[in-house]
Amino acid sequence: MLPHHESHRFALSAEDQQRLGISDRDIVTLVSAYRRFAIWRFDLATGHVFASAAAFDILGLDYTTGPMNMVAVTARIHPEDLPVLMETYERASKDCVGYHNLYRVRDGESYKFVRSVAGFRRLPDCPAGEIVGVIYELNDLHQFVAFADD
Amino acid sequence: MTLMNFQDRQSLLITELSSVRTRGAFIAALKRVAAAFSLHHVTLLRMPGPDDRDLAPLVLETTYAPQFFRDFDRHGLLSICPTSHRLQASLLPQTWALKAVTEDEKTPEWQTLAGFMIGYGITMGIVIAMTGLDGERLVLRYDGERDCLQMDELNALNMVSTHVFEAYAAIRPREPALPHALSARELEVVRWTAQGKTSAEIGQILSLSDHTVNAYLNNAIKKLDCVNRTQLVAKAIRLKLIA
Repeated sequence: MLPHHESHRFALSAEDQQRLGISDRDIVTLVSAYRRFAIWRFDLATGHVFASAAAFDILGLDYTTGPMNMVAVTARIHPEDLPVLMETYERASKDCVGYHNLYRVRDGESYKFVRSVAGFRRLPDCPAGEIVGVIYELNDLHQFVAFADD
Repeated sequence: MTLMNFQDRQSLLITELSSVRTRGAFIAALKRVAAAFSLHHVTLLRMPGPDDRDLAPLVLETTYAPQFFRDFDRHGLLSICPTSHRLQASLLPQTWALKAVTEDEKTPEWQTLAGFMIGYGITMGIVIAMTGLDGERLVLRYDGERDCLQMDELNALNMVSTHVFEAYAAIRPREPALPHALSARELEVVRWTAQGKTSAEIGQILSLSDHTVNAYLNNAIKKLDCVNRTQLVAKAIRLKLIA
């Protein structure tokens, strides 16, 4: 469980969820609908990043179950955005804080916007802690309406 | 139509370089310098040391796609590059051209290097070194496929390059001089970590014990003033120590 933080003030409360009868799973399903949406985890002790298959898809990389190749990941990021993104990782891992950032990822011959949102948590089996987060494409501006069959 | 003479063109490039305030403007100016001398690419990098095996970690700015230096390093070309060796032993600009190489000099290693460069459409180049105000040795490498530069062109390029170094000094990130803070072995271990390898896997790759790998990583963490491996990897990428 992520610690509550000022940056989470827009997050839904448990009371709201209970009152409206919408589960955590429902929220994840809705938030991730109609866009590529992935989850990832940064293990601070080992320096390794693990991510779901969709994260590799968003970054245009071949899926592997082990740690991500950060050299390959950074090669996909717009060179002007990379220093800020790395500074974000540096500060988050040093100060054990969450963050959000926007950056450009190579998409064929051009670039697409991607957003990462992250939070820090400390677990009993991972005393150094880890940063967990989501990553998704910002394609909303191009998608005015979409429907699902079910 | 009025054709701009050589001095005017040089003066314009120097004016543009002196007004550079952002990295984007710097890259744009680099491209214009290359184009003004009918060259294809420019790369600003730290001077390779005798222990360096890879060029990519030394690159600060370049007009090449990142893949060029990855491929260059994958073929292990830095150690067989004669221009790099000459550069380390001289203060003068170094020029090279594939067609200037004699038959005796065309060793198998040279054939590998030449084949690689030709694959990228590069047949000649000029490499200019300079020592920065902070004592760091930097190198500007120009590549293309034209005839060798005449002496007046080389002089002009040398002058413009001084302004390139000056422009870079104005926009470079204000970090303490760190690049040579890490040994070649420490850089290697950090690079493998960034590629997702565990200490045990790195130990197998480099024929080292886990303990030694961890010692190298801990040294690198201390030297780059980091608190954990995640920060170390991010900082090493941001400072372009690994790529």
